Amino acid sequence: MFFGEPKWLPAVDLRQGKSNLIDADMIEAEIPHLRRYARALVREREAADDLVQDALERAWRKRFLWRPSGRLRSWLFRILYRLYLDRRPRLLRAHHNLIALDDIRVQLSGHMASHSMSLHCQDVLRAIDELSKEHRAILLLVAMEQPGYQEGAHMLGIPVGTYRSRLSRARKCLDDRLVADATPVADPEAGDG
Amino acid sequence: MADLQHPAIDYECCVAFYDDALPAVQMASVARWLRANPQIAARARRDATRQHALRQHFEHVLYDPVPERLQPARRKSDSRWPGRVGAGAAVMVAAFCGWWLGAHSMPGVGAQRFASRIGMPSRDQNVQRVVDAEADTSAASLMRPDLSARGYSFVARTVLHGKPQPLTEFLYRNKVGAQIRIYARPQPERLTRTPRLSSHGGVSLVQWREHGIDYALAGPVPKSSLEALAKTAAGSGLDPHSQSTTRLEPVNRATPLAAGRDTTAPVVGESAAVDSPAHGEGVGSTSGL
Repeated sequence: MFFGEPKWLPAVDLRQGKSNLIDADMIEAEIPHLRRYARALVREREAADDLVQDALERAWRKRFLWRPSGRLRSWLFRILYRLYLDRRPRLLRAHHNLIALDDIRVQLSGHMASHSMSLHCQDVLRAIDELSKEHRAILLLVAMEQPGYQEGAHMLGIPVGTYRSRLSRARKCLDDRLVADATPVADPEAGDG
Repeated sequence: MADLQHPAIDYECCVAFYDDALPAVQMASVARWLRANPQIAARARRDATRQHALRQHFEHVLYDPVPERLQPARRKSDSRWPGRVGAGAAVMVAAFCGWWLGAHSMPGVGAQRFASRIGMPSRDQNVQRVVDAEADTSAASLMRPDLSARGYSFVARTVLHGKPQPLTEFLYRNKVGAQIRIYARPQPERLTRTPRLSSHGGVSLVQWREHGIDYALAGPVPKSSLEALAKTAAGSGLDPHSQSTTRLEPVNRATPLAAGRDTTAPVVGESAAVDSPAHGEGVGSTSGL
C-alpha cells in the first residue's frame, strides 16, 4: 500500500479546474504504464516495482506540486525517471543475472510476434544495456510511450532541444553497438597465415 | 531533420509512420516525403521496428495484475457513501438514457460490463484460453471485422471461455508486428452504437455495436489510432443474420498447457503482404523504399 494513511481529499474535477489535487484513482490508472517503463529500465520485476512504489510515494507526498495543465502521466514519469537516475548502479545492474528468466517468461506468454523478432529484441536490449542511463531511459521511453518531442521532454524534465539531440545521439549509439555486435571479430591468426 | 518544404515533417514523424503512431491526416504527406528520401526512410523503418519490438516485449506488463503494495490503501469506513450513491444514480440514469435513446451512441450498462470484461482476459496472463463445445457453437458465428484497409491482417481467432457467455477474440497484426485485438460477443439488441473510446483499469479500448454484436478494440497503439481502427472496423462488418456464409475460420483450440501462449500462430492464412500501417495509398507508395 503506497499511500500509508491517506487523507482522502475531494475528488478532482480537472475539467472544471476546481483543484490541483490528485485523486488516488487518477494515479492508479497510470500504474500499468509506470510499471511497464520501470520494467523496461530495470528489467527485474521486484526491482521495477520497488522503483514504481518509490515514485508513487514521492508523487503522493508532492501531489500539491502537480499542475492540472499538464498530463499526470508525464509528471509521474518524470518522478520515476529522476529516481531511476538517482539509484545506485549496483541495484539497477543486478538485473543482468535475471534477464534470462524474464525472457523465458515472456517467451512462454507468447507476446512476441515471432521468434526472429524476439531474437532481434534480445539483441536490442543487450545493446541498450551498454548505453548510459540517460540514453537508455530516452530510448525506452520513446519505445514504450511514443511521445512527441514536447511531451517526451516534459516526461524527462528536460528542454525540447536537449530531448531531440539526446534521442538522436542515443539512436546513433545504439546503432553503433548493434553494428559492433554484428561484426565478426577478425581472427588474428588468419592474417598471418 | 525538418524539411524546409515540409516543415511539419521531422524524423519522429517518419518513425511514427512506420510505428503506426502517426495521425491519419499526416500519412499521405509523410509517405510522399519518405518516398523522396529513401535513406531516411530506411533508417526510420529500422528504428520503428526496434521500438515496436521493445514495446511488444514489455506489453504484457500493462496487463499483469498490479501487486497489492502498489495499490492505493482504501479506507474501510464508508465516508464517501454520498459519492457512491451519486455514482449509482448516474449509472441508473445512463441505463435509462440508453434505453430511451435507443440507437444513439450512449453506451449502456451492458456495454460497460462488456468493456470491463475485456480487461480481465487481457490483464490476466494466466487466463484459461480454452475452447469448449458450448463456446464454439455460440461464438463461432460472429463476424470478423476487416482491417486490411489500415494495414492490419487477420491472424487468429480465439474463443475465451467465460460466463455468462464466451468472448471471441480476433487478433490482427500489421507489417511491423503491431498486434491489436477485437473482442466480440452476441448482443440480443439489434441497436447500432458508434465507436466510443473508454478506459477500464488503465486499458484503453473502443467499443461499438452493430448487427447485434458488441465489439471492443484494444491494443498497444495511441488512442487516436485505436479510434481510427475502430471506425474502419465498424464499417467493415457484415450482418451475420444476412450473411451466413462467412463464419468460417477455424477457431483456435488452445489447450490449458498453451493457455499463456496467446495463440498468435496463424490460423487462417490471409495475406499479410502489407507494407506499412497506413491507408491504402500510403501503403503502396512506400513499398519500394
